[in-house]
Amino acid sequence: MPTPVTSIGATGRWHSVMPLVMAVLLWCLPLPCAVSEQVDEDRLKALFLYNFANYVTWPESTFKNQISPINYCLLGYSRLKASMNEITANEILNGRELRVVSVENEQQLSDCNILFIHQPAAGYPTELIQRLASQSVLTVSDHPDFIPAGGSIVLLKKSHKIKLVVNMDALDQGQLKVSSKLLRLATRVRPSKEGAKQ
Amino acid sequence: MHTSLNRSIYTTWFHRITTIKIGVVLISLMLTCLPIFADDSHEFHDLERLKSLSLDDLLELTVTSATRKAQPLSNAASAIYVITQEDIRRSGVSQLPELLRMVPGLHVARIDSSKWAISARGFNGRHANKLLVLMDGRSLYTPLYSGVYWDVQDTVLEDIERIEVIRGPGATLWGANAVNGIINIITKSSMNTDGGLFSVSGGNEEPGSAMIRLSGNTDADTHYRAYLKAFRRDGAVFFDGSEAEDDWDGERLGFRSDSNLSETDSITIQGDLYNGTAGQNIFSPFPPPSGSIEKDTADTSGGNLLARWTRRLATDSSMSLQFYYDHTNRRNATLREDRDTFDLDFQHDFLLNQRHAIVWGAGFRTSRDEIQTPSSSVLTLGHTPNRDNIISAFVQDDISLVEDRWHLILGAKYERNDYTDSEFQPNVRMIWTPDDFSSYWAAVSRAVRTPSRIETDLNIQIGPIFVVGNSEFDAEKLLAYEFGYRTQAIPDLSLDIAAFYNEYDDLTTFEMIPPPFPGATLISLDNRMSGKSYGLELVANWTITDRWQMKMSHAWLKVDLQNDSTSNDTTSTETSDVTPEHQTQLRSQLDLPYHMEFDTTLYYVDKIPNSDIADYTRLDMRLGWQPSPSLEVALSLRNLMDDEHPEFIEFAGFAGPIGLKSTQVERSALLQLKWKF
Repeated sequence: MPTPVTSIGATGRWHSVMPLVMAVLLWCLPLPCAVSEQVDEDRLKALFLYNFANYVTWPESTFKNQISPINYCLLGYSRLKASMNEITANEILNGRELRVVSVENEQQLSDCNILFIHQPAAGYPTELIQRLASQSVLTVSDHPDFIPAGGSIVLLKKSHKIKLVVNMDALDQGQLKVSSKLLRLATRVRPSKEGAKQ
Repeated sequence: MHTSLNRSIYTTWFHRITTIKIGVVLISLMLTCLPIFADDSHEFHDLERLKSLSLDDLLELTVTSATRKAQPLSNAASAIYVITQEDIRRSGVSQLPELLRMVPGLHVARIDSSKWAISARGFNGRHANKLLVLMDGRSLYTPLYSGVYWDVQDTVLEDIERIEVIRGPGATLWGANAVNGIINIITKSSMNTDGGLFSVSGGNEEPGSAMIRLSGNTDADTHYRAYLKAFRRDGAVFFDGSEAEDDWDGERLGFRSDSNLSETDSITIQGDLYNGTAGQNIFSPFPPPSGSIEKDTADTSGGNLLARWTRRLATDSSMSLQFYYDHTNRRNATLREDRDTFDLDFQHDFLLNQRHAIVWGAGFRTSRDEIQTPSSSVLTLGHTPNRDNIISAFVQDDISLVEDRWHLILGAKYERNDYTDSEFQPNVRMIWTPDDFSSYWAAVSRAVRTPSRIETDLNIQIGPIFVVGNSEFDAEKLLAYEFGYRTQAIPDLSLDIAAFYNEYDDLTTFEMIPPPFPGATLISLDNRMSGKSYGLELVANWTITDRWQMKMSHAWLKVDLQNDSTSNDTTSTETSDVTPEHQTQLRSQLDLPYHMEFDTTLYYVDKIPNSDIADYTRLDMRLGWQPSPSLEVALSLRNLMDDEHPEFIEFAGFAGPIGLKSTQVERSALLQLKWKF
């Protein structure tokens, strides 16, 4: 027979303290108010936009010089702008300042490096998007219709998470190089190949 | 706070408990209540933390709507629990098996300084043979005993992405021996390992360990990392308090590389090399005097190399081909084992008609061993060298009956092994998701535990007593009925309930058979026991504030075994039932101001049936501090409730296979320092 356990006595007594420990824990549980900050959808989208600057290489001709800022433009989405401002404040990436710029007219759009377009009620302005894509602007939106319209990246909400869809044609057109790490995590599509998905 | 009042209450109620112990508990509880003091700098830190997340992390974050805060609600039709990297970091644990303590419903008991008994839903033991364990697709289950040598399973804990633990059968996808559960350890891709990491730790039970991990990339498409670690563990004490001298030390090095060959193809290559030396104590069956303890040393070494090629065929389709080689070598007083395993696996998944998510695969594994037993050993093994081959194929169809609402999952695995020939393991699962915040699931599955080499080739002689293997030994079988419910109806509180009813047949027994000569006793392995087990597992996660999380769980298990009428085994119904009926856990993770963290875990583990192991309450605490993003200091205190307590039965019996003497788990403190560069 195995030798008796020497510490059984102590363990047994501790067992009797369990209800008290539980009681104290439960007692202090409801004290703090459960007011929690929301890491909401807009903020998450803004974080993706912020990250994209890291994974995209623009053609050299895009920037005037080594320290020209990377410009973010946001169309039709004021709530995202607040998050974007907060995130990019005082941020410098490889010597380039991250800047959220206001767009007053169509000409200013070509100064954008990353453009986020919230889905307009009347559908996407296909012509404009395609023109911007060829001007090396990384165009991003949050609706699947954006890809057929010629957009580069879609932030798709699916079962409470954000999924990435990348339009390889649009990237090629704009001579944008996107790192393999991002591509690996994204669904890549090539509308030119007649619906053939990669 | 009301010290005198508290003291008078306690002296009346629990007069023999020292005030120091009470103090420890109360201080921890009071600290747990701290977040009522708000910290203004919090919002800023949270943003900084979010900004530092990689794309992978962002993709894993769940979107919160304005009304309800959604947390990842797993849609698996099984009782799954996931240990995240954050859980690992905040556990303060330095050894892989100890991490599993936090899993609800898993019984994790330390046998001695280097050995653990780990199982889900009963049948625990050093070689708990109904739980399958995998690391990055490599099986850690040894074909010699059926079970896991936990003393040789390790990696850089910081490089683990997550550990998925499924309670209940998963044989259809994972293969034979996934009877009562599966533990799947998944390490990070080297693409997600940034920079170097250096860590040192020391404490009374772990006198010193160090680890260095470096990572880099040759170009944007090829990343790699490599590590070197070494550790020492102090010996524990026997049940009578005397020193067991089961000190343990080891070294390990390894690497992993991940490359994108093209837009669709990627390849992963990884490997490890290790060696270790652990003291152990073996119960000597020989007189005089019978029952004396022999000191022994287990020398372990080995290595593995794995390559996996993955190709994405379309958005919803991919295939992968995986190969690994694993070598293990173990030397102790009772046996010397050399083993080489080769494994090849193919898997393909695709979506058919937008309704059928189909995954199928096939695999081949061959394992060759060479086992020598010293002339002094009471154990000998026939058929050495020996080779075991396993061929398998499986298919599973996840049918979306009503999109996002009703799913029916049908699957089956066919496996051919050298012992019982063909085994068929089907399952049917159903999941109903009435709304975005809750789901119900139910499953019926069949799983088998195929015989291991020792059960057919064993030969033990202790004086006139012989214990022999049985070449006709059959697989142990399970028919499992499971039901589960998950909900997050209340924001910030998620609940997971699982209930099961298991019917076992052909369980292992030791039968007395006619002896070869008068006066001898001959015992042979057989399958003459059946039984049932049932239980309930409750898991609750409560995000009380952004800075305070509470995880609670309770597992209840009942095992009822009977011998067949033809059996003369009088002990197996008891020795197979050594898992506690009740296990409760309360885990608190609290962020304090000044980048400090305070984490507490309280465990209650019921007595082990059919043994002298009493119930125990265990309190672990960790105080962590990150003075800068690259530096972390943590002090972990474990087993604060008593000087030492036993967690598993004193003699592991046949599973040893020769009686292994258990030691107690002692109170310990560990100081860890981690530096990222």
